[in-house]
Amino acid sequence: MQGRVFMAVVFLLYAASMAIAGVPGDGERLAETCTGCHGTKGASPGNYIPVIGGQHAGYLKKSLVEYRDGLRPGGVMANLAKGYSDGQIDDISKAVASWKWKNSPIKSAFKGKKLAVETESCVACHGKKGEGSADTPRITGQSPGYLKVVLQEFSDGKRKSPEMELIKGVAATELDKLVIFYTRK
Amino acid sequence: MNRRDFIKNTALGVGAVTLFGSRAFNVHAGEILPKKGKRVVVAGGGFGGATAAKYLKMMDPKLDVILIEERASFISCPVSNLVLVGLKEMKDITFSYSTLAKKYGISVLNAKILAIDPVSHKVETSKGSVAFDRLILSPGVDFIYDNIKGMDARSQELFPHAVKAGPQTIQLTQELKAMKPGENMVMSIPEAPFRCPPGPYERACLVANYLKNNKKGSKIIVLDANQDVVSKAKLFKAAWKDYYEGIVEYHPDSEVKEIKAETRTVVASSGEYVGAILNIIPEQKAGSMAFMGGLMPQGRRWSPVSALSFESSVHKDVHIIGDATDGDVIGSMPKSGFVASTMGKAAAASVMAMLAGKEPVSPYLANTCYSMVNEREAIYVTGVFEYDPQTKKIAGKKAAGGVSPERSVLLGHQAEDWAKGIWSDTLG
Ligand SMILES: Cc1cc2nc3c(=O)[nH]c(=O)nc-3n(C[C@H](O)[C@H](O)[C@H](O)COP(=O)(O)OP(=O)(O)OC[C@H]3O[C@@H](n4cnc5c(N)ncnc54)[C@H](O)[C@@H]3O)c2cc1C
Ligand code: HEC
Ligand code: HEC
Repeated sequence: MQGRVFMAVVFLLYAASMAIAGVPGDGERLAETCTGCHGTKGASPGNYIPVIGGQHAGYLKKSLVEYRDGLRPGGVMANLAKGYSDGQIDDISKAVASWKWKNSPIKSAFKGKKLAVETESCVACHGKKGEGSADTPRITGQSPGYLKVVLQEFSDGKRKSPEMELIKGVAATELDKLVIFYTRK
Repeated sequence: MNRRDFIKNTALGVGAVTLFGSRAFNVHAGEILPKKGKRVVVAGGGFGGATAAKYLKMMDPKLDVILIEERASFISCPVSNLVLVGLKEMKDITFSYSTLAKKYGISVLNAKILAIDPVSHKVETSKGSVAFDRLILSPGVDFIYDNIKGMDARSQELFPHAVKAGPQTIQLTQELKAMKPGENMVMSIPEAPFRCPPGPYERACLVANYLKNNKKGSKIIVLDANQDVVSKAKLFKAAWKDYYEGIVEYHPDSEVKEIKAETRTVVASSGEYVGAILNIIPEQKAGSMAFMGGLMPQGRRWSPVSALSFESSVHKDVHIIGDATDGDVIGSMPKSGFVASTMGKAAAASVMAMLAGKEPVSPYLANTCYSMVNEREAIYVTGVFEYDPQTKKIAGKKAAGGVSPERSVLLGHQAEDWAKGIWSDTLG
């Protein structure tokens, strides 16, 4: 009984701290530390730092956990993600997913008439417009430099994902075409 | 008398005297921008201040936010080392405050702050006095020359630190260009803490790279008052060894004692060195605004604040963030633009809460500093910091603190994007 009352009080205090008009909750404030690199609301202006704002929460969470646990190759993310608990990663992912996706300002130039690239298989999982869902990331409008890096990681077998096995061993020139397809003007 | 006492008795004493003496608050200065609703004044539009102002407005577009900055435009220290060696230009690191005004509705006042009255809630500026409910100060750093003999006003001009990007960056760029092959540059690094721990070592790499390509036989002689490279030591030393053998000459435990301007000689604890260029980075203290209004306790050089809300330990309703804060009081963090930016966001949230009469909210901070070791490759150091209610200090999460395993071209690209990211997060 006492325990329950205590929990209720804790909850009320917690709710009160959440409820300050205009002051963002813990998830949002944690996520605001990311925007120094990923841009305000996760709209990255850079080529090699990905857009994260509006990415799907399930995928964000999976990524952060895998960076943290050394299951996904990463640079700064492999270090930074170690600073957050499961609960915090959950909160951060929700906050970042609630931001509005903005396509990268950097677009791939494509001058030819038709891009000879097979993307039908991609559609099956990433959707018609490359918009993704749940654990499958949005890829359309992502930063081109970043996309090339991760596709190369899949191809080299450095980044592991059963769903993305189809990219294994694919040549860099083909990867370039995929990048152009998803990031062209 | 040890070194610390010496600092207390000289540099800081002087700072405190000017504070109470010549710059007392002038109550007769005309008030400008009369206050109607609740208002937050942010003083200093660097990484900390500009970010705080923007995030305040993002939380509440109706809040009256005035950003007071003496410079007409924002000049970034990050990437300024690339300007020194011609890889970037001043225009690449110079930005307008106009987006903050137009997009976020911040009143940007281009004026110098002359005095602060925390009691009557006013700041006096070169354009008149401005009232506030809460004040956020992000004063940056200032320099202590008292401990170096011969570093008079003229020598300070002759031997730039280039640790505040601006005219001194241009001066050092020109000096490097004009230097004759075979001549040397001497750079001195003060005892930590100083602004941007990896900054001087990155400069050593980039200058060495420039000398290697442009000035045959020239060297950069690094006089470090610290016992070893303060940040990313292994990575910097690997770059010096692999790329700049015989071009970077590193002397640890070398405290500068005296400058002889006529012969361009640096007298350090480890010996005497001559350079065509002397890049003297002196010891640092909080920027001048931190010493106004009695906000700096006698004998201190960094601002004591609450680690929870960044409210000054001396005066309520005044918050201080960025390089100026005292790591001994709030917990040790690097004096970096990234930390200042996350402090700006954290302070903004607590200021919002406190304006509503509520308790401040827990700060979440982070750091990443990339350093270029040549025109293509970079290395980094990271950290994640959180408030500990037990110790009432901010502490680093051990597991998240680290450095890059190696230097790489990909990190070079990310370093460039990091700058774009933080500039847009601060000003865009
Ligand atoms: C060479 C170099 C490289 C660096 N590289 C990096 C890096 O890669 N990453 C990183 O995170 N950090 C880097 N830094 C550090 C970074 O620049 C500082 O940590 C950061 O600027 C601190 O922000 P601040 O808001 O505390 O101070 P500042 O950015 O200095 O802001 C203070 C502002 O207050 C204004 N001001 C001062 N006095 C007054 C007054 N009386 N009235 C009105 N306005 C006033 C100043 O003009 C200034 O705009 C680097 C620094 C140097 C020198
Ligand atoms: C210092 C800059 C920096 C900071 C700070 C930073 N990131 Fe990253 N982020 C990167 C870079 C660079 C990558 C590419 C992977 C790598 O090199 O680590 C990345 C990749 C990611 C990805 C993978 C995106 C994808 O589509 O798979 C996610 C998710 C992410 N970051 C989330 C975050 C979150 C959440 C935070 C804050 C807790 C954060 N980042 C803080 C630079 C940063
Ligand atoms: C069977 C489903 C599936 C198919 C088919 C598929 N993907 Fe994926 N893709 C995924 C999943 C799931 C992930 C997330 C992997 C992870 O968690 O690391 C992913 C990740 C990615 C990423 C990484 C995005 C990021 O932000 O890091 C890219 C890029 C990508 N896919 C491109 C493609 C392309 C291009 C194709 C077609 C050639 C394709 N995918 C086909 C399921 C699929």
